[in-house]
Amino acid sequence: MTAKTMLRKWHTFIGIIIVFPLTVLILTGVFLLYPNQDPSTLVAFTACDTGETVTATSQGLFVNDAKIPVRFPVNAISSLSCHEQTLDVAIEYGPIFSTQLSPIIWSVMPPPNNHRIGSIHRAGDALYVVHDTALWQYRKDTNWQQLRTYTPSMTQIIGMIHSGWWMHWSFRWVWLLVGIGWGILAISGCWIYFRMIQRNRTD
Amino acid sequence: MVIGLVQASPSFYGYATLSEAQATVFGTADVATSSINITPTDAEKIASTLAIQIPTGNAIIYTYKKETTILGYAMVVDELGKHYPMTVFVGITPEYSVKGVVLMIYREDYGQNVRKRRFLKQFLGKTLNDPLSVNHDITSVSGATISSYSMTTAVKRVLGTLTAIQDKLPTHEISP
Repeated sequence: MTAKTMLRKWHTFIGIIIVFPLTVLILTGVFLLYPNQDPSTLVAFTACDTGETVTATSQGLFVNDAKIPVRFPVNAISSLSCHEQTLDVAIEYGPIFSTQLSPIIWSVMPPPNNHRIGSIHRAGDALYVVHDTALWQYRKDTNWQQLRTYTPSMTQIIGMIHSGWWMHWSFRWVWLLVGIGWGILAISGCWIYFRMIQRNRTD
Repeated sequence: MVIGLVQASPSFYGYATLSEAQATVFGTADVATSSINITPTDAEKIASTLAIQIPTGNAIIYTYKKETTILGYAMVVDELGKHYPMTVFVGITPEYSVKGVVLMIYREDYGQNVRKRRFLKQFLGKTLNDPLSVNHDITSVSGATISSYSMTTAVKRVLGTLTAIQDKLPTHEISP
């Protein structure tokens, strides 16, 4: 058996075995690019030092199970912080909304940059924002100040690329096209294979 | 490895001047500009109901009339989007319902579709009795979720402000 024949044989064999799991991978990958959340998905949670709980679900933002009015998409919340009756809400790539727990009157401020906000924390009169590569502090008198920078790990970088992001630029549409292309290859490959078998039988 | 440390400068997309925005909403009406002081008491009247801050201090109010009839009022507000503010013109009728909304300046690179008539027409006729809430009576623009919320807040803010200071607004014949 020549190398070419062996290669063709293995290509067929492996292709048949993986066509189903590959299809599942493609479909789930495409879904993850543009997910829809279920009606009651937990988005974020925090507890206040005064005892209240703040829960963000895809149904809204709740303080002690009472829904409060919001002026931002709750599904896009990346982090909550509650300190001394002040509630801070960070949207994934900004901005940051703040209010007292009562009355609810939202103010808004821009984030320090356009990187993804990992978490926010309030301590005293300072608000801290954590990215994957930096720690920022906001005070009224100094505005945003970068306190520390961190080098992203290889895992973080690969995770970013795998999910279609580079820093704050999205190229998820490329992965979507690749997923569609793979799907077409899988289906057309099956069709070519079965047609070849049929042709071999009639010959 | 490049690690972005500072926010890039805002972009600038000018879609309408003040005159163009005024003409879109109020046509060829005469316009008078006044500066009205919004006190903390005025702001408190409405802030907690709307759950948004109403800025205090002097606000520029535009009053539109045709002959002796007041056609409406308007404000130009800057509302923060994802990172930068967008400048929005909101006009209301003398009955305090939305007459028209125009996106004047947009400073982000994505989300400008909130300027389209298909989105903005949802605000027409809205009053403070309406929810004026995305995913309730306002449908957001796909790919411009944050901007949709910001536009809705801008309309709410203007409606709330003008309603709170209605006693101070001109209601009779005015000189341009």
